[in-house]
Amino acid sequence: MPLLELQHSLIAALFQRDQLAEAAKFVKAQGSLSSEQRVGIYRNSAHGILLDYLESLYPVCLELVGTEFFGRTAHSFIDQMPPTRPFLADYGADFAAYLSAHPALQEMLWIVEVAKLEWARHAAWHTVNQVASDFTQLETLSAEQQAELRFQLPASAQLLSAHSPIHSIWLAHQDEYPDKPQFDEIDLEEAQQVLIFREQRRLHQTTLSPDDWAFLNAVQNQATMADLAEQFADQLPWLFSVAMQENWIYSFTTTPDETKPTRNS
Amino acid sequence: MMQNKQIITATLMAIGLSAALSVANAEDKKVETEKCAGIVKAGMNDCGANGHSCAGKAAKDNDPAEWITLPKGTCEKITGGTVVKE
Repeated sequence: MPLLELQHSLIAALFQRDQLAEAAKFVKAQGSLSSEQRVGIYRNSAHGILLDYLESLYPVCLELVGTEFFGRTAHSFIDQMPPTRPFLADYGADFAAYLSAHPALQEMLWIVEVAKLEWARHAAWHTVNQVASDFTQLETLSAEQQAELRFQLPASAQLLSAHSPIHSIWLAHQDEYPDKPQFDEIDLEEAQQVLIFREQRRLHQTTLSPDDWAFLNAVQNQATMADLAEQFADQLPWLFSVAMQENWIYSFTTTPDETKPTRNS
Repeated sequence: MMQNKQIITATLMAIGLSAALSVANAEDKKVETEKCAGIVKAGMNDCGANGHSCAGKAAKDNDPAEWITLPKGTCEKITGGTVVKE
């Protein structure tokens, strides 16, 4: 049997229960364990590691849906969407989308939105820090260059707009916040806009006013200073002041950046 | 209602003021740091050790060879923490 075929057969067995017997053809039985059971050890081990990982990635969702539901859903997610890259931290981005299709959650889609927030925290944490621009250099630019200025949020910035109060729900499930909201008192119909970003060794998570969210969204979509002045008019100096003080804006460029992908949720 | 040119000028002034304030704050806040080993959660290390090349690749909790940067004097207060000599 060629090695490649053997490897594919084993991978299929890891993530598809009905492929165990096929992979077991290449494995000897030993002691009380059948060949299928011996392949099953690898399947259980891979699933166990990935389940532990998903539980650590989505701790609030785990609390919200319970260990049993989470475990069952995670196992079927692992089978249907197994890892495709060798770096574990890349795995699990699709879990929220997978939850959104679950029939049992159709009346509780706020749980899906919490899952998106938990992934956004993970993604922000695993983004490399970048060097901040020296904003005092802005005064050296010509009027034309100033109008064409574009600004960047931290590379880790995740802007989320949710139909439910995801920040409050998340906060209610944190042990270390003494003034956290009580989950029973949260209005699940309240929409919230949230910004998450990493600054050195700290992860920041904050709710945004609709104005701040619209402004940061426009900045993230690479609006020029002229576009921003048009859209936000005399609110703009204030919006920038708040954003600068909170470290939401990290750098600027004087030429259009066509390569930067827009990230919007 | 301000014209766009005036808005841009006012905005750049606001940015300049905020930038100057944050530079002043950052200078106030500069702290000495040290590398602290033995206390890092898996995947949360600061830099390479143990045969891997980069931050975030520590494979297990509290590995004595994995470290994070902390304000000076903090490490000795943490159970299992050892200051890494530069």
